[in-house]
Amino acid sequence: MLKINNLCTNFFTYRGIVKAIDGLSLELNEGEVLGLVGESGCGKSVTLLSLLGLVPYPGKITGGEVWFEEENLLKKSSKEMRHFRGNKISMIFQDPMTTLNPVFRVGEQIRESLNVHKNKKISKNAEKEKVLKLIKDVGLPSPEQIYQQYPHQLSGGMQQRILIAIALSCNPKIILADEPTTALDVTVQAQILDLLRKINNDFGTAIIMVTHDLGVVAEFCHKVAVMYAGKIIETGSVEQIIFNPKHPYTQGLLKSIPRIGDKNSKIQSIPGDVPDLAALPSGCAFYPRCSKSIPDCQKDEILLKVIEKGRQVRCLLYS
Amino acid sequence: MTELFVTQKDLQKNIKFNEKKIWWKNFKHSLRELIKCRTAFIGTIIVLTFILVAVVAPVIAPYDPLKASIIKRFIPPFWIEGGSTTYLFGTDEIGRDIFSRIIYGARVSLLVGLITVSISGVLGTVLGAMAGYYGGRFDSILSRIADLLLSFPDLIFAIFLMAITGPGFFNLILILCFKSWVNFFRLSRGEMISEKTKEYIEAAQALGESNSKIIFKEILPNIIHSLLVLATLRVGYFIILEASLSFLGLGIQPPTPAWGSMINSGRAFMLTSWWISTMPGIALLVLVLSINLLGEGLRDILDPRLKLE
Repeated sequence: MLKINNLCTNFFTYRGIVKAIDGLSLELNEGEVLGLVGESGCGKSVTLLSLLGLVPYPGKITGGEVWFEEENLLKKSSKEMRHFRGNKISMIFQDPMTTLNPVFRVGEQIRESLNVHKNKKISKNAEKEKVLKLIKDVGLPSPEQIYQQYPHQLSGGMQQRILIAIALSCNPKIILADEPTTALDVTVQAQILDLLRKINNDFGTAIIMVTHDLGVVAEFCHKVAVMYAGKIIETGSVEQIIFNPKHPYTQGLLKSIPRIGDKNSKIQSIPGDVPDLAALPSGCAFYPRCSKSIPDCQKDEILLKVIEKGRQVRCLLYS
Repeated sequence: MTELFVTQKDLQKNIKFNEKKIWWKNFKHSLRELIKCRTAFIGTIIVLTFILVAVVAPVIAPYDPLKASIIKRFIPPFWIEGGSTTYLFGTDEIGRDIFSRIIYGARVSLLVGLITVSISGVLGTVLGAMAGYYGGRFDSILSRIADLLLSFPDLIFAIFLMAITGPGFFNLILILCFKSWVNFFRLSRGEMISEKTKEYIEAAQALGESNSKIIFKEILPNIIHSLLVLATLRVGYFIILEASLSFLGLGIQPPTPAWGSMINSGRAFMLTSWWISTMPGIALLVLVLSINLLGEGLRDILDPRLKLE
């Protein structure tokens, strides 16, 4: 349903061109949940914003194609793009506290999202009923009370549910979730994930979940794409990635998860830092931090290789 | 998990909004806040009184404000020897009742203040909001014009333009508006810039809302309270400015009663008949002070976080 081909997004800064996304290709089928994993600054969020055509200044999409239902989204004018945003593809943000407009009641905000894309008039009462149903759908109690409340009167978890209700309001085909559980505590996280899974099951909505929490990925996603320095370095099903990681970076990520009850061993970490995206080393971007590096890693651009069905790795070890 | 999804029937049972009631509750709450804040409450009462007096001026003014009388010149206010309650604040140098003239003068002052603020407020806010949101060349051109206009002192600039166009009510309002939209422009532009980076705007864009909708329906309600406070304070400022111009003979022309020209006409008799200048001066002071108190109070009340659940 969604097919991204060789997407490139660059940020033109005074320091030079920052390649935030460099030749990213992804595929998402109907009803699938894709996890996009990677450390901070590797281009996960920019990927989502690029899909919606909302890359902030000084960023620009410089190449590639985004095919959604036989249409190339990158060829659309900004006016045509508006038709897709929220309607066909909607987004959930990281921090629910700041994503709702503070001066409007949440009910009105959900109703607003219904109004943006409606093509025929529906009565006010029908609208209200729809809003109440949405509030109920995302598992909030006493919708008629919540309808009247302002965002600051709700807890973070409730606000995130409202945002999910807004994202759901136009029955989108895809929900882009940008770290939807990062700002919430663990029990609420589990509830929100349950809710998203339920939406995925009941409405068949595909979800792209950006996260750096591998626990969330293991529990929630069907497919995983691991990103590093603007590139996808490994893709595969959840089982493949979690139990049999191939790329040294993915292996390092999985090793750095703390285990409860394990007092003796230190948490492992990947040494070094994310490379400067404005001055990437030649060859593999992970080379300076990699424990299994060989001199050839630095030579040429390393390509994404299919090693099994539905499984790709960008590493010389598997070529 | 099935209990999460309810039938349409359940919902219909549950719909019992009463938006009007909530609105009324909020209004009552704001009113209570206003009363709690003593100074703001007093300010509001006085401003409302002035407005009421201005509206019904012909009914409550005891005399025709333009009617002169040679015999009844220089009658002092009632609490001074020689004065009487027939002329509460005394009479001026050609025998007109000062009390009646102050009442009619309130009309001019409030009208100038309110009309100027409405025009320049709407103009400045809209331009500022657009400049702040879109940025770019549109913003820099308007901002440079604003900077240019701000570099002139208000009064001197108004005197200059009034001298060119000649005095008169409409000229006065036009000239006051010519410069004063800048203050609204700058405030609304600044607020817009700080507000547009917030995440809820990004969310609105991701929802597919149009730019104009985001500006006027998402952001403007968030910044309107500071603009309202500015507008209130500006009313007082324009009243002073109008009085200054009238005092200099460039604003409202005699014999139309305006406080500024009344103060001016009593200037020559300051030592003998001080009330001719002082009475309209006190009226001006009280009105502008009250408007400022009201503006301060508004700032506290308009914060949506203080609203009732």
